[in-house]
Amino acid sequence: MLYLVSEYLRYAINFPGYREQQVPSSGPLERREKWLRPLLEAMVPAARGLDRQALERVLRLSDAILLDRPAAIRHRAILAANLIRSLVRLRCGPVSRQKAGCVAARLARLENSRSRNIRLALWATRTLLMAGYYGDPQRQKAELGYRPQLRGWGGCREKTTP
Amino acid sequence: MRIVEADIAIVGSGAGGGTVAARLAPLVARGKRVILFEQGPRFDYRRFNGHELEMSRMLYREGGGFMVADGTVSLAFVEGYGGSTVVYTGTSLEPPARIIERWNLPGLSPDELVRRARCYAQDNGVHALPAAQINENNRLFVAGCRELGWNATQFAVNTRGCLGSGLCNLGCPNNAKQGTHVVQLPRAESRGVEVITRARVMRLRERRLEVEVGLNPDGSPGEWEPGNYEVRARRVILAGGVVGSTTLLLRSGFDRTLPAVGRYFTCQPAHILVAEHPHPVQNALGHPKSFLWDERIESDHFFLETCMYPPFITAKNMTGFGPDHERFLRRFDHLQMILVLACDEALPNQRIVLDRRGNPQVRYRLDSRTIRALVGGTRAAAKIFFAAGALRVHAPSARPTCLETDARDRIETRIRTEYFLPGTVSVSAAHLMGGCRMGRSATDSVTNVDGQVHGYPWLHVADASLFPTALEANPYLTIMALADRVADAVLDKEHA
Repeated sequence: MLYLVSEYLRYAINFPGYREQQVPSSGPLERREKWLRPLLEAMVPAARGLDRQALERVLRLSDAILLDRPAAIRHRAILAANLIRSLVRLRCGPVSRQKAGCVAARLARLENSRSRNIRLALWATRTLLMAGYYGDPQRQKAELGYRPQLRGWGGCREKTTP
Repeated sequence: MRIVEADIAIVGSGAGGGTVAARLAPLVARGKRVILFEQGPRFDYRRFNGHELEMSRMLYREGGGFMVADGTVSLAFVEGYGGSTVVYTGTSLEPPARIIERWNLPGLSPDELVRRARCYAQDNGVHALPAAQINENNRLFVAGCRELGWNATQFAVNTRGCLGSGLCNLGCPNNAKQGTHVVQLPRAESRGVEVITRARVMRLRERRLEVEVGLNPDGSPGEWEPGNYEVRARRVILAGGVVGSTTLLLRSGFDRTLPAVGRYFTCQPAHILVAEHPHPVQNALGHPKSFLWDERIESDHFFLETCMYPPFITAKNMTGFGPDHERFLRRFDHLQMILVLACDEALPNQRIVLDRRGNPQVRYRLDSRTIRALVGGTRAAAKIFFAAGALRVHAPSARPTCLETDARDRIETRIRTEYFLPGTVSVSAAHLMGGCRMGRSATDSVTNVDGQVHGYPWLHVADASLFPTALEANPYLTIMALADRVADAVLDKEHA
């Protein structure tokens, strides 16, 4: 328990990669990749195929959403991500060294935790990562077959009519 | 601080504010000055590109993710010219008689509200879409209901020239939706009502408003120079939406004399459910919300509507993660979607308060009745999905959340209330109501039946915060009908 608290405080105070009011530069992003990639891969298995550039794009989209929010919400989201990281680390060791399957099993347990705060922390982290992954218009079109049709039925017919 | 004199100040430009502005516009020709303040900017529909993250950030407060204090429900509402009428699906239901009767307010009859609502339905182009414009996602809902012997009802929607882009919730790129931003506000402005956007009303004193005017999102000035203003108005009408109007009253100290300010908040919490079909389902094209099923609304407190949301919103609103979750998303063009809405109780401890910085905080908890309603709605939706031919259904309150066809006869046991974990199950709400409820006295309400704040004859409220309880239906036409009523009361006073 003491370890958990100390770990949590350490990350909460020094949360690597996030700085308020500042779009993350490539430096902090590199540090975050190491522990966010396993979390993302556990939540979205297809993310295992992402190269570094694609992963950066996912994280930048997530950042953009976070940086829009009031400072208090931003801070809570960052704490949530670091709490999840700490809880996974507590069970499995450093997150960056884990296989996605091991992380996924741990996350699945946290999802059904008796503590609502832990469930909420996982939900917030999951939402941010999924925003970066599924919210990307390029990926929506290429992988999910979804593209907004501004002209509706007409736009679709124009495209399908030779 | 600059001082501005006005006869009437309106705060907010959504379904309530837009309606009041249009009704009071003829006063301008009689030499009165009517000013409407809107906190957000004017939107140019040509910039609505349908990209969900970009549009959510542009249109919604906190990108559509305004969380209640305990983090279990996200609230979606817009700050901008037209308010949430810019982003709702245009579904237009008449005020439900049983709810208006339950409100039991002297002088407010269902017939009168329905009559007023019908005027706005006509004005705003409300009609049922022809069968040819109903997409497959909606047709599957109807087919599933029919198979079960249930009666799905078609929504009327307020569109003119709808091209079926299906992007209602992200701003119609064809300006087809007839919200107040298209109908009432331009009409009011053409008759001389001044609409000041990027104008945040900070406090309300006796017939005085403290207003902060900012720059447009692109840095250009708006209608007034940026800065602080004191607006002196003989009458003030609050229509800033549930969060906006309530926050302003709280920030201005009205809760000292009106203890009900902020209380009895309801939001009709909702789930998005998805099911995979063996064949592609045309879901992204066509109006997303054309049918509802509400036969168990009185007994089990839920109703179902068709819906369609883009990939991230769908992913977020599904429960869980990993391969099962991903499989649904990978089959996005095979998905049927249903929205489950719960009718939550109006309780005094479900309330809006201010945090230490004076910002709104919604203290709302999913109570056991609401959870039972969401679970009951999930069961009904699962039955519709399977009856319509779905291969698998995502049910947030099932373990595991993915139900295959062999579960169709065990839905009652697979989907259970004890599996509904607040914080894990995504719940969102867009039908915010209450906070400045109408009533008979200042002890348990904020305004009288005409929307006049108890003890303040110069101050009215004209938005969904007036609702004493949840409406148990999509609220837009009822808000307009009530706002119309408030406008009548104000006009009577002006004429007197």
